[in-house]
Amino acid sequence: MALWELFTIAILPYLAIAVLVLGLGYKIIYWLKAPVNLHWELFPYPRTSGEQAGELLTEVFTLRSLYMHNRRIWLPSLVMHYGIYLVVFWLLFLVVGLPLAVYLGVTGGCLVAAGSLLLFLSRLINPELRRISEPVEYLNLAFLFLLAVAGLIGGVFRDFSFRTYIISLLTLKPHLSLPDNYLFFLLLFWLFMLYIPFTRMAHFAVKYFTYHKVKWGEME
Amino acid sequence: MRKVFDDYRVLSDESLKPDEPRVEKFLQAMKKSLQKKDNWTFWLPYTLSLDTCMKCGTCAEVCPVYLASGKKDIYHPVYRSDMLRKVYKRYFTLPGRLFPALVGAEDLTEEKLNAMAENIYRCTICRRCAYVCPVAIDNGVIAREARKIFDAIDIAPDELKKNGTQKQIKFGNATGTPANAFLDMIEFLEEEIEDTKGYKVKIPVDKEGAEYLLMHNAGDYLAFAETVMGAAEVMDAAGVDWTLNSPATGVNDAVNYGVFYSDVEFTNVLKAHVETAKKMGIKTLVVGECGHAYEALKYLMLRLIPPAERPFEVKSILELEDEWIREGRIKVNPEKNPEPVTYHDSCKLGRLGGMYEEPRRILKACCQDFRELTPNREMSICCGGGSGFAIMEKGDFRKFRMETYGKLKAEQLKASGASIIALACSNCKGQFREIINYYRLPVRFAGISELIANALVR
Amino acid sequence: MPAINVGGIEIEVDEDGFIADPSKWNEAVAKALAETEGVTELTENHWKVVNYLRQYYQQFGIAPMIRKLCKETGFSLKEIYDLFPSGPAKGACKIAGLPKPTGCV
Repeated sequence: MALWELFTIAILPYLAIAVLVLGLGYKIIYWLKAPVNLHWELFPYPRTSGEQAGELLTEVFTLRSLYMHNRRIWLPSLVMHYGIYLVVFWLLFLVVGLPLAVYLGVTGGCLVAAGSLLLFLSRLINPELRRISEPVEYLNLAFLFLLAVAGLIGGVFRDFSFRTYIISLLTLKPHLSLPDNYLFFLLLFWLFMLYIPFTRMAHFAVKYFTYHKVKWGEME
Repeated sequence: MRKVFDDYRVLSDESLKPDEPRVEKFLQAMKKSLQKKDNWTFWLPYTLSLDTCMKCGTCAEVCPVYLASGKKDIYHPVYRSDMLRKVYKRYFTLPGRLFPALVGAEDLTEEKLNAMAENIYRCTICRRCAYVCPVAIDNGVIAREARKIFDAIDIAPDELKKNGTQKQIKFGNATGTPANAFLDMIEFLEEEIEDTKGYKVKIPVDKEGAEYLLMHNAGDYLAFAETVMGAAEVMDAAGVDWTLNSPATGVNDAVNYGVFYSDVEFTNVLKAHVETAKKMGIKTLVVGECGHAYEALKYLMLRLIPPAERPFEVKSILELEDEWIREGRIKVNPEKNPEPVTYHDSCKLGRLGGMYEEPRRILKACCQDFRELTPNREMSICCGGGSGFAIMEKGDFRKFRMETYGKLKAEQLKASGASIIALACSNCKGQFREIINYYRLPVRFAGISELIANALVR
Repeated sequence: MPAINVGGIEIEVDEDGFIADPSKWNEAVAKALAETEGVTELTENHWKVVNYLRQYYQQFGIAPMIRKLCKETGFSLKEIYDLFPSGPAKGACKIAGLPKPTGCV
């Protein structure tokens, strides 16, 4: 086994997870330690935790702001996000051991690939979006697209026995025998995890602060 | 004045000093602005907004300037924020230092600095974009922080600084009205009420220990006296213990232009307000019809001045008027305002202040035919007078105000079919005065208090 | 600082076009300032407004309330706008040689 294969299968995962957890943790603690800002709420805003949870879930699952005000990219964006949610559930279901996982994985992969490709093209084609896009915007979308395609073509998403590898990682005894065509996906996957904390793709964590601490504030 | 960004100029050459090297000073001031101990007031929304824009462009879809300009690139809200964001990335983030081209980090030059200084004064910080942003990123706070950085290197519009906050601290009001002129005005207003309404109203001035100290935007006396007269009639009809104050007591102008461009100036003016209210021993400081003054005294003050140091309540005059009408303390007859009336939500009172119901209840009680503008409330379109734009004229700036925000507002107003536009904010009044003139609309504007006074049953 | 030319003499104005030193004002200056405002001829009505503004300014050090200006001169606000297209504060005060009114006016 080549050294890079060993690295990808058995070392990179731990490195990536460590960086992901520490990186996100650092960011979250960094923002948590922020001084309480002057009141800067926008009215009206949900007051009870029930209302706030409702609004947050609506935004997460329907991307309402885009639907209401920026419909052009709403559908591709929704498709990509649902794909990501499904891939996350694919992993969870694999860990738990539910065979349903493979359906989530394949559907999720397809949605991520379609959504990221459409968003990539929207950015490229729509002059308004193109003007405000930096190369990194395209890079992020291309990264997601490649990752999804690698998973689909390599067959990872539809292989329930991939579970063995995940479990082997969790039990700290990484399984080294994996089909070759999984390697590229895995490399991309762990690099992506490693990359997230350094990008705006951590916005799922940041939203807590922008919404709860600023837009919805905390009135005394 | 020479062109540095678009066809307009807000900053005088004297203030902008467009040919002097300022980049180094700017970067130092910006570095300080990113330190939470040096700049805690808006550090969280500021740094979050610099870091996390997804470049989805939703903000642009609701930005009055961008839309009304025919979607000119330079007025895209992200273009504006990116002027600062590119500098932030280039000098203050690791990815920007390592891979500038990839993440869009750029060196700051004197030309870019000139353009940025102007462009941050093409946005009124109405925060309509922040309301719709999926990630709740705030282009408004970025513009305001950029203004703070510029102010720290002494670049600020004369209207807001030299003739604004600094004049207010010196004279007690930004209009520079001395006490004797103020008393002459009050006397004139009492005569006017008697002449036009046929009854006498005593306007108390400098009465210590009064329950209500009503502080107007001092510009209202000069330009929108009808609001001041209306408020006096309402106070008088309610039979409450109230007073105005002259500059002899300290600050008698509710405005605080620091809200628009500087926390330092903001705090200075705020402290002077608190000092005056304390000295007069009043129970409630009533903010007249002024949007940003309400924001400053009702919200921004709370975490800046400890409660023990501000032993008085703050209310908007609209809250009191609404309360008094509902409890029957003052009686109004809507037939006295028969014309169709509509209401423009001032950004500071509405989106930033949550005051949507009070003005509507008042107007429905006092006017026979109340109509909404569309859109309204949290999606209300800024009139273009915000951030003190209403008083900025140099560099052909009035044309900018009219051809962007003003254009949308004129269309909205026409569509409503109203012949009176009710306004609760001085900047809005100043802006609508120009919009009505510029677009020759068969409409007049009126303060809320003026309309209540018209409808009073005595 | 920008300037306007009045009979060969340079009169300094600020960036809003208001006279820098109000004591340099005279009728010829008023005419030159009027031209910058697109007012080509100063009629008796213009002078009525200008003279009242100057008188009030000399007494109190600021411009009068717009409502008072209307009342004292007998012109409606609309008539003042007809005389001075950019309005009482920016147009009339400029021609009358007052400093630019400040604050929210």
